[in-house]
Amino acid sequence: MKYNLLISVFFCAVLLPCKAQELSVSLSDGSETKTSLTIGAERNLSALLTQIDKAYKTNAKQLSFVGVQISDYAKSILNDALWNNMHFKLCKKEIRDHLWFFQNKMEVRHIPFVLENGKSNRDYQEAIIEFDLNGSILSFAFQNEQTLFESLEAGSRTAEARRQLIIWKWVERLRNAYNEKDTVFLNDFYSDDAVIINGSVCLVKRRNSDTRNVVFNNDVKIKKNYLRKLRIMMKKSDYTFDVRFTAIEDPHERNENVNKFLTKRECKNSYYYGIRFRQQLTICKSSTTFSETGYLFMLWEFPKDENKTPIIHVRTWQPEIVEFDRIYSLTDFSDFIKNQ
Amino acid sequence: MNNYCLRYTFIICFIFIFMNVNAQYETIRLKRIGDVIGITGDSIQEKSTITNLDSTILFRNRILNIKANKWGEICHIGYSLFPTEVRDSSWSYIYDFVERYLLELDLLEKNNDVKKQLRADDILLDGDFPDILDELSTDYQVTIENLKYHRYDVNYKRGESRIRMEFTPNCQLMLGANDKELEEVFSRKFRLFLGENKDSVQYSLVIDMYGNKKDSIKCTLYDLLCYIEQEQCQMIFGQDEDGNDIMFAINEQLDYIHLAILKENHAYIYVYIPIHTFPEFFINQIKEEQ
Repeated sequence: MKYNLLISVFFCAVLLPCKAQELSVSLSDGSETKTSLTIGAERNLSALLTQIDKAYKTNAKQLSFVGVQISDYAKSILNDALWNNMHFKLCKKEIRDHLWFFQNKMEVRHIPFVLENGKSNRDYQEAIIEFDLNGSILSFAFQNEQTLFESLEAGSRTAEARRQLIIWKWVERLRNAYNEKDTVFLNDFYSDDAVIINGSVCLVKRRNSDTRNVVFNNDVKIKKNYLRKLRIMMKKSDYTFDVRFTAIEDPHERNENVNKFLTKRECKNSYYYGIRFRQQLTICKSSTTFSETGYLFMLWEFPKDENKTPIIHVRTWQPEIVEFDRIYSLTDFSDFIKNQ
Repeated sequence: MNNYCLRYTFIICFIFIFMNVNAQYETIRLKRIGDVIGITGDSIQEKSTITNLDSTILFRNRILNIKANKWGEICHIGYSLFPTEVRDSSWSYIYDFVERYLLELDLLEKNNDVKKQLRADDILLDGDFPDILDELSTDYQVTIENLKYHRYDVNYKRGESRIRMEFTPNCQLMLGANDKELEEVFSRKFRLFLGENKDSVQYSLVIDMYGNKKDSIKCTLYDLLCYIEQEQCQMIFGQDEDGNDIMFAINEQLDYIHLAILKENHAYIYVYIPIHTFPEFFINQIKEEQ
């Protein structure tokens, strides 16, 4: 009895580590609770990916489908058309994807693989896998052909998201250049003919009355003068700058989905973006701190030629007291863009 | 007796090594902290995983948590506030930040400086500092709530006492480095990462860096994906109208995106784009549309 137990323990110890660990798959159809259809697809996809992972690690000649509910067609695609020609490896340890429901089938579209076609040739591809309504795998394909069905509109949205993130990166660099007192880099940011507008507020006493009127002034500078003044301040080693940007809140809340901080115009060779934020500038000099908050608007040109760097044509600053609708925006510089 | 001698000799040797070899740090901020609290040595022997270096180092009678990355650079210094089983959860960046930030506050000279710093970093700390440090021990419940519109709320509860810290997951604040330095950290760590994963070279990766600098690295796409994945980023792929593959690597804990444009055999990447001031819908849009 004792002997049998020892043999069982030995086999468990030896065999358990050999059992491939199932890859974690989580699919969602957007609803809060998972249906049996989703769970079935999850279980089957996990089993298939585990077999692919195992085959890749052992450099197996054929994929095994033990424990996978899969059609003969999908088996043939996976082994004959794909695995015989190239091996592929899953890029992630955990898969999370959307499960799309159609009338007679379900589908996942973004299972990430690295394809190895020859020793040095590797390529990233995403797989589309179709399931029947029992969760059994119907077909398997890499997306290079299938992505064609996606509309050009989707492509332009991806391009727009990409451009907006690059703008954000440049805005962050601009912020950093002020904080680091990097006037050389600041000089590169602004176009040679950049217009710099600094707003200010003063209270003017009314005639024959104790009350005062708020008067807004705009001081328009050219780049050379703006940077000269900035250089003088930044040269002082005991001055530290801290510039922060936050989103401007629209008091009207007209439409939550309107991109409030970014507007765009497209021209022949460039995209022009109007970007505005709430800017908080703090300048510290030993124990003295000066801080001001206002609205910043910048007109950036992003050349379509990606080798050229973005450049600022207009920078405006207005004190916080200015009403939301009076903050500068792209429409204030339409003529400038038209003339480009 | 011999055993005791051996043990003490070992401890003395360990301290000697720790105090005399120059430590390498992941960021300038960590080096500054290390210098102030007197970490002048490098005890990093174990280089295979992210390592808790020594949990018995004390500063102002409080235990410090010091960690090194797998290349031996010190990547975290903070007051040890969370039990290991809690730290291993998916909120590790947040635990590290809370530990480091409270240590940094404690290093400030005046109470007034603490208030100024909290205001400057837009952090709400419920409780009197530094008294709250005494309240913290391993015997408490901790919850982290991801508030709407990019705010985290970390709550400690011990009996009747409760400490609350609310902050924006600004990746520069939480990682303790500005945008320019984070780009350099990415480039350096990725090179170290490639050093240990020798593989066939296929891609020419260009990192777009501050000051119009371009840092070129030869690597495979697989290397890049593996490196980014270990930063706990969610990778989303799309294609732009010119047919370029676009990769958005989103780290939702630290609210940043790495954006890579992949073309045939070269890739161009912008790293650590902070998104904490982005409207929520923009990020959701990227996720939904790709």
